[in-house]
Amino acid sequence: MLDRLLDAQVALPSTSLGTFELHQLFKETYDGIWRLLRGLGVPADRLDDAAQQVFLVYAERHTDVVRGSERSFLFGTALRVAHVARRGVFREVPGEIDYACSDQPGIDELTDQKRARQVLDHILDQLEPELRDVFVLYELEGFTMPEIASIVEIPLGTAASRLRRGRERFSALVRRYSTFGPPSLHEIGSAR
Amino acid sequence: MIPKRLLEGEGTELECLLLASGRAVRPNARAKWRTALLFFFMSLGTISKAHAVALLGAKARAWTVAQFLALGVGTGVAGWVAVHATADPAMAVIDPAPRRVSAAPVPRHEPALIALPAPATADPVAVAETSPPAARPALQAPSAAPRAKRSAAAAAPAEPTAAERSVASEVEELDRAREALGTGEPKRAIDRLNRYDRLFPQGILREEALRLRIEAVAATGERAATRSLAQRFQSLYPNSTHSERLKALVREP
Repeated sequence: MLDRLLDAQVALPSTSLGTFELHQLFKETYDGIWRLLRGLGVPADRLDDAAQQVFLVYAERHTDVVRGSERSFLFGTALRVAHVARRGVFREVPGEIDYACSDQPGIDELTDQKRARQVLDHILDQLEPELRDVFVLYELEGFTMPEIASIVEIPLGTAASRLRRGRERFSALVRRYSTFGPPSLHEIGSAR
Repeated sequence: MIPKRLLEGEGTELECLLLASGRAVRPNARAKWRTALLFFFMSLGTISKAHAVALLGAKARAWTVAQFLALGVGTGVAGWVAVHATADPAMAVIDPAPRRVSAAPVPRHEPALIALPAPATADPVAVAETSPPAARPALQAPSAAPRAKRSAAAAAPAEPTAAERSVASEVEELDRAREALGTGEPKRAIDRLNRYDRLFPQGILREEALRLRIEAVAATGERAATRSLAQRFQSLYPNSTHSERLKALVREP
């Protein structure tokens, strides 16, 4: 009876999730959404609002979201929210990060998680946005390539290509960091 | 070919260290609760996006909890007190104390929940817009509360409020019922739902609780009772998103 009951639920055409499903969805995705927004460069003081915005967009449109694609919708929304938030930052505070006079830690100090995150943030800031999206989704959030292609709305081959280029760039920046310390503002400009 | 992730052995030690630090970050718990509440209230149709957006501005931060209280979250406090007064959830079933507490209209802890800002700083538009719909009169928060207690609540440390935890307690109770249903124990699910009804007589998730009850009763094979409950559900929540699902359930041979 229970099996039939569950089958009946799956077969029903409704696209809306029940309260429990919404609860589960929130529980399973909030931390990842928040972390993704952070990884994509949303400033710390806007992170909570940005995460909230993502879920409010979903809450408003959840009846339109096809069952089974809720996570893709949420993370795709997070990408767009992050892009808007980043643009806002660059417009408002141009050249906010002064790498030339940075007091970034040396490698020995990176065991301190907070300082390691600072370095990671600075390195991710130097990735091109389209590479950063795919790189963060794959390496930090653990999505598969097909999932990323769906979230970013690009062909699978393009996602794979962006990941490869993102990894190359990330590795180069980490190598540079380990050899020379934090890059100068001039170097960042010429690299882009 | 699917590349291995850097953290799974493909990266250098330094790359792994940096990426691991990025994975280790955790969001602020209070902000998470606030978002959860907005999310659920919007999804339940209790507030619109316009209301939610009004709550998001930096100046409206202190408003958030108060807005939810105005929406009626406070009425679930009795259940919260009942749950949290008993360390062991199993004991709560045996001990009649929770029943007594939940029956109390205004629990002792309730004033501490009132975080309404002073009228002078109120946004009249937001207040008007966030009034609960007429269909949810039982969810009205008490309006008279000592100002001093309001201030004390407003100055509380950044942890989830009792009202927020109350909603969480409701969700947890129903989670247990759902788990029981999921493991093929509909009678245990019904027991959990009976407990939910006792603890949260004015709970905000009563619609969900009734839906679960119908599914649990259906799972026991009691078709007449299932139909009766489904009719009751339809009369109580005629616009529910669960209606179609329940109709299909009742139609099942």
